[in-house]
Amino acid sequence: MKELEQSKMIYENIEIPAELDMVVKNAIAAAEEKRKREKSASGEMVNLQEEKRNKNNRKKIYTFVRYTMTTAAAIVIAFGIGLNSSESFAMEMESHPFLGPIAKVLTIRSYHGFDEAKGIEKDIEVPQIELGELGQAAGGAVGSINVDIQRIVDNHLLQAEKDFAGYQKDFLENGGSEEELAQRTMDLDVEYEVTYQDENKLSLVLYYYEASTSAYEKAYYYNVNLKDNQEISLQDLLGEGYASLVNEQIITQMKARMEADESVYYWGVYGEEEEGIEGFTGVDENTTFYLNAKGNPVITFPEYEVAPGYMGIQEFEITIK
Amino acid sequence: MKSIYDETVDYIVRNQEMFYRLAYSYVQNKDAALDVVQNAICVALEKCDTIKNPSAIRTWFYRVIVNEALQYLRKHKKEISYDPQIMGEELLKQAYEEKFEMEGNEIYQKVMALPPKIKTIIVLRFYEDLSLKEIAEITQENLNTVKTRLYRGLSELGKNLKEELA
Repeated sequence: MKELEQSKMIYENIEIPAELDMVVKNAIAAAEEKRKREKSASGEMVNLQEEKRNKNNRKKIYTFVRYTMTTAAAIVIAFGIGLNSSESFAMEMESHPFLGPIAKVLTIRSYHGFDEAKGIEKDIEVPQIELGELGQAAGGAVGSINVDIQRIVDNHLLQAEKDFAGYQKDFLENGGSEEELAQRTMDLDVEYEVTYQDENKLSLVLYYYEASTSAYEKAYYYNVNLKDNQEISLQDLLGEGYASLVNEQIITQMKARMEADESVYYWGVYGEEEEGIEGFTGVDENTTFYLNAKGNPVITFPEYEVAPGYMGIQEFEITIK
Repeated sequence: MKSIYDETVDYIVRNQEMFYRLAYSYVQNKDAALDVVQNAICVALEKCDTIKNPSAIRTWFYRVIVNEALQYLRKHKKEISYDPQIMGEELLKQAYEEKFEMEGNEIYQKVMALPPKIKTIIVLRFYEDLSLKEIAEITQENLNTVKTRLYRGLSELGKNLKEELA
């Protein structure tokens, strides 16, 4: 009998106090504040750092949004502690309109590195939404989104590993050498971005990139009403007549882009069909979108759906009048 | 590529419960353990830019937590009891509730009652499953010192060395 191993169970069951999460977030927010102050104290350093951050625009936005959220969470923490210690403070808080069921988006899985055995370079950040006091346990739309994200990422990674292993096998069987094969690697990248958040709405985009012999990009869009924990539809945002409103704006934008740049081409803009390609036929309840920083819905089309593959994912911002 | 700072923040958020347990095993008090975790995060985020390789974050953060916990014990020496009889009570109650076997509990109390430096080795080796090499990095001691402390700790626990290290 290994008594030490048994006693490990007691160690592992040391009760985690409810405050831990707050303490940790508070400490991170405090460190972040301190860091910002120190940075702005030394101008040149800031520029260098900023330049580095600007390199990848998408990551920059994500970082910004995430830090904003950390600060928002820290405000709630401060209020939460006040609630326990002072009743009058609690009364004041109840009338504060901003403190709704605040949601957080956290990275729950992260992997960065080169898997030599498989020849795959992975940069993976998998998000999870936590809603208010329920945290990860919130069911509803948030719960199913969290499950969906895990499933999507797992499926992509499994499929990519399988595909690349098959490619490696074919390559060697067709006379390629191990040395040549070592030069051929696969890049897998999973990222996310919180594109919009206020006390009512959260918009999260999950990106999957895969690059080996060819490149492939796919995005998944999640929009949640935080008040009732339901997914938001275009109809919720734009009303019953959303389809004609959106279609009109998309066609206008497609035409403008085609005129401005001759390498841009959209199928179906003038109603014609080309070699059986339907192209843009109008939006419906399955059309994907996210909310941008202004809170406007941005309609998205996957590669190949409305334009040639080289144009990648196509996006159209819809302005709400 | 994410910066070391962002990596460290993510690592902290993901592993906060583990940090708390480790801190608690030293200070044996909820508020004190939360203090240790909070201080460790502040220290870590202030200094994390000195880490060269993201893969070093793990052992490095253990070091920060252990150092903060030991520092806390030094500062609050009078308030902390090393008497296994006293500090075991709460754990004993907890253990009954969770229906743990008494055998393991007795050893656990003994581990908690070890002198801090020896406890560090035992906790990291057997509860956090770190290698002796990693523990040497964390405690900034050489491997032989770590081994000596491990053997001393095990003999204080009345354990047969061969049995535990098998």
